[in-house]
Amino acid sequence: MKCKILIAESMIILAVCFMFVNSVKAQSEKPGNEKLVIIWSSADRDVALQMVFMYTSN
Amino acid sequence: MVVWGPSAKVLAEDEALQVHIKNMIDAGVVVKACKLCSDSYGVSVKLEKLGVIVKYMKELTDYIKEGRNILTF
Repeated sequence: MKCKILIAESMIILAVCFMFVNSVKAQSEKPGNEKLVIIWSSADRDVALQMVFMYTSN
Repeated sequence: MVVWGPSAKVLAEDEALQVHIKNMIDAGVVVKACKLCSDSYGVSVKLEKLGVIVKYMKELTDYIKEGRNILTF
């Protein structure tokens, strides 16, 4: 009887841990992280040609 | 890509940069420009003709809140 209770408690703890790990994983896979936003503010022409466009094209 | 501030003026005046922007847009890159900035430089219409989406960029705050990866030059 005690064994059954112990097994049931372990299963519950495992299930809670599994749910926690999944929720953390889901949070880190937000769609916003799939895209890169490049803000081009500099008036320097070389910055645009050498840096901004390079990152945007890739 | 977001054109923000002085870059709007540079883009409107430089044909070589405009060619690059057109190529990017054709390749599928979404290019937006801050309307407040481009209006202050008087280049909004020119940027729109290039295919740049000129609008008020309140959505930048949303990008930050969403946790998007942002590079600033």
